Amino acid sequence: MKGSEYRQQRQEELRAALETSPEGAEAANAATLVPEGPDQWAGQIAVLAKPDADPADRLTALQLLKAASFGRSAFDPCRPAFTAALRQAAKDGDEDLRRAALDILANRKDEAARAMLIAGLENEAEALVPPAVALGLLASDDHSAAISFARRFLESDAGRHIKEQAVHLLAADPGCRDLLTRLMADKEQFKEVRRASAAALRHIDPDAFIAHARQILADSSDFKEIRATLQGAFERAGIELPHAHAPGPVAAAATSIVSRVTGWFGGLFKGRNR
Amino acid sequence: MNAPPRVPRSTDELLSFVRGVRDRPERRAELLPLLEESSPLYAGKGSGEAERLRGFILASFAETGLPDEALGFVLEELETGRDAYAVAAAARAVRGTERIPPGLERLLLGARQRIRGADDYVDFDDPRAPTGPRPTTAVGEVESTLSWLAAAETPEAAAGCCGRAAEAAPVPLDVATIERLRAAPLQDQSGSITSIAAMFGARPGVIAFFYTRCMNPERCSLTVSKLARLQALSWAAGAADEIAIAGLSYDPAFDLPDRLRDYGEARRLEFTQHSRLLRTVEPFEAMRELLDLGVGYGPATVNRHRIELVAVHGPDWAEMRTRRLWDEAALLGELLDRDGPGARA
Repeated sequence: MKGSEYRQQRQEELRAALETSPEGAEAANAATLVPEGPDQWAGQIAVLAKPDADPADRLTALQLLKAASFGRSAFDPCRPAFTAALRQAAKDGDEDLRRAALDILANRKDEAARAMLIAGLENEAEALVPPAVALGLLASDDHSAAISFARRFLESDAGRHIKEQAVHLLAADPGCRDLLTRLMADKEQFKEVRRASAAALRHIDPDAFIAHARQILADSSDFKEIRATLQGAFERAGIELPHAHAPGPVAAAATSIVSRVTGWFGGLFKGRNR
Repeated sequence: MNAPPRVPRSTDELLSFVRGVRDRPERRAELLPLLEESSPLYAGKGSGEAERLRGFILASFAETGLPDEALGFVLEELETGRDAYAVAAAARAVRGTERIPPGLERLLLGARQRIRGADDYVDFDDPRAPTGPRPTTAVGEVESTLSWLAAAETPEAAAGCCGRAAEAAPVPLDVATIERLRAAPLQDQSGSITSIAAMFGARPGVIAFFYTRCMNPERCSLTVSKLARLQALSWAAGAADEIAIAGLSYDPAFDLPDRLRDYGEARRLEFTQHSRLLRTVEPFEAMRELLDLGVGYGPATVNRHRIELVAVHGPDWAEMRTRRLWDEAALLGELLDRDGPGARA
């Protein structure tokens, strides 16, 4: 049975249950649309692994299996076949399917996926996803060896999104502290790259981030957007702003709005007081 | 004198080398240096790739026979490994032994449980991850060894044999090494600069190695939790200030004081004058060389490390390159034993 057919069948069952018994429908809904049992899972894995199957059906199968496999020991016997099917889909599906498969594999730190992504960065003809996507996927593993690619792209004339993702990779390497400091302060850099560099520097060395952020805040010639982002980050972390940049009420409100919109550093801070 | 064999640097070189050894089992000892975490084979490689290369090497012992010197690597993988390929390789390798180590069934059952959520097809003819189905899986390989064990006519080793005793035998540190270790400037979780000499004084104690980005909860996280339990046991025994407990990071550039503090607190280590988590102030390479630590590095951080401690008994400092989980109650007993080695000075 195709994943789309399975979903349609389940939706019809839920609709029927809702008409007869709202309580029953609630229980049925709780079971979600995830296929149950090894036979169903094997069927969906077969769809996912089949190169000539409809890409939409393969993507639906992937999504159903992703949900079924999450934290469930009953799925364990199916994991090798699921992984093999994901690796297959990562190579021969349409771009949406390749991205979805590689996303799952990269988050599991799969070596085959890592090798495929790196092969694509080394040789454009072998690229399965755009470079920015590949770098972003590789960045999910701070124990990987993809940092050399990040440096290479940052030194090239690659676009802003590629460079932004390359910076994310550098956040795993304390040896990149000086590079990140330079990128953060470089007014010629894309603002996305400067923000990502600041976030990465904050991750590696919070004290260095604060010191260099203060310098940027003290530089009235730097871009307002960058300074506003840093002000918002300091405020959320409870870090005292340089005196000249402590905002008045209107400016503080504006900064707060900007910082909520950009929202770059919320997860990185733990309320340090300085 | 024959030159030492050249360390393979690429996967293709390793493939060729290992296949050569598998074809000539009498060369199996040449694989042993390649299992050391600090081998140049793994330098600069990510941890996933390093695990697969080690697994590929380990699996060879099923064909060549498993020498006693390799048993420690195999049992370590079965006890605490989490990479499905490497654990499967260890399970396969142990079928090459002539003497079954005690407790093997327990280790295999634990290994199976740990890897079942990451089970994968395995191919020991090539360390690169397969992209298609293979005849067997990692869990399947472990279960094959369990079946082999159930049917084995191979004699079980005497208790204390075969790897466990060899690994447990501490390597004494010489006076010069001890002095350099004691004097090395270290920063603790509060940001204070100290040293082992200042922390320990004349106390017995332990220095364990870890890093906060370790992805294996059976290694570093458990090590620091064990340090906390060692501390709690010492307090319960009325010996709160009598032993020193130090955790030293393999990754000092990343493990800044706040991270050390959070890591220790999360594992219930109480920070005192004599119980701290530490990072080297100078580059870690000097410490690594000084103690010949079992740790390898990728481009950003550690890619593989063994479990290791330095146990201090008065003037006797010994490095326990254990590779196996250590028992905190037993260690406390050794440290507090007034009639033991520490009392002979």
